Amino acid sequence: MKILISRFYRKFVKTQLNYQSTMTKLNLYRLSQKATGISQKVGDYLAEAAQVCLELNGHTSGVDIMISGLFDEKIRLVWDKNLDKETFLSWKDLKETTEFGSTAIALLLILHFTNFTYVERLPQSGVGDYFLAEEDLEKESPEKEAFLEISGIFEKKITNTINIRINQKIKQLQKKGTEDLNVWITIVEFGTPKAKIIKI
Amino acid sequence: MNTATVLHRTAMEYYDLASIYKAKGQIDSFDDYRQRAWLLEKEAALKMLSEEKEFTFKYLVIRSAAILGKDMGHFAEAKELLELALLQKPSTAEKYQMEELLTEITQQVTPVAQMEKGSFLTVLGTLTAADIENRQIKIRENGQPNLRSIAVSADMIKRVIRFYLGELVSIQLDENAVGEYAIRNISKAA
Repeated sequence: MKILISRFYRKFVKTQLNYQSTMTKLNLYRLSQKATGISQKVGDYLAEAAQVCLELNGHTSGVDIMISGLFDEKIRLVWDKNLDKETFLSWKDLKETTEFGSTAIALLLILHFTNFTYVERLPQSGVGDYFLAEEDLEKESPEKEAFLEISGIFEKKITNTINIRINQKIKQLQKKGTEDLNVWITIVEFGTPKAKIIKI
Repeated sequence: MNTATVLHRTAMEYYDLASIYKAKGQIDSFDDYRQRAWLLEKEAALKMLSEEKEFTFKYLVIRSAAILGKDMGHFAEAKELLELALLQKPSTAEKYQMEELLTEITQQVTPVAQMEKGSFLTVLGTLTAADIENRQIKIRENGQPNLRSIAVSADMIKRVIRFYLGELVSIQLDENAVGEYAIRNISKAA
């Protein structure tokens, strides 16, 4: 019996180790290297905001984020910076920190799961926070272009879940005449953490 | 990558940095970077307008400049950019969004500061600083390079003003007997 348990345990540990070694790791601070259109400085700021949101929710580097919607996968988020007290204090507005943090994670995920390589920032108001393209921006190729709408939830509440937020986003976008557009929505929740990616 | 795209990318970097400085409570830097973003994005939009080719990104840059212009109170310039873009051949979705934005902006194209019966002045601009020690706030009026200082009580800064930092606001000022202005009312500009 002991031998059986021991064999089972060894097999279990081996499976877990294999699973962990094949799991995709995304480093928050490598955002600017993943696509054209995000500078190192802005990429680092966004990553810092994501790290603040994750650490304030009690997570440490190596936390797994559950992805649902168009993709069903677990991704490991890692970071290699230690934040001091001053950094936490300097992010004064948690709402905006959540917005920037979710942007960092949403972009990392979209760049990981899709073929988009051009990421262009758009000011708020109108459709999308980012314009995504697979090819040169000065080419007209609508099938290889998309808009990305991002939203973040610092901590899940009964009245504020990923699905509620997705429905709100869809309604907002429908009002803006998006019928002919390729729009992706990514919602990130830092408490669990988890993210949902859909395309409308 | 053409010059317009490079300008847009730099403008958006400044725009992101401005938002980040706002989140960190550094309103002076927020204002500075937003100004830079607007100037570069406007330049990018003008270059895009002279492009003969039709592509989605061209209209995104023009609309982006118009949004920045609207947010910073440069309504007339934002309106002109959209009107010129609409004379070209945007896609149906882009046309719809630009027309919607143009309607919003058209409602705002009014004189920015009006004297009413010599009694009070209405100022429209971005609230860039609030100094509780010196009991004054600073506002960047639309299209003006310099900041206007306005005397405000410390209590009002604590209770009301701080919620408007970095926002486009409409301020009503009372003129006293010696020609100095004091704040009567502040509200977020529509």
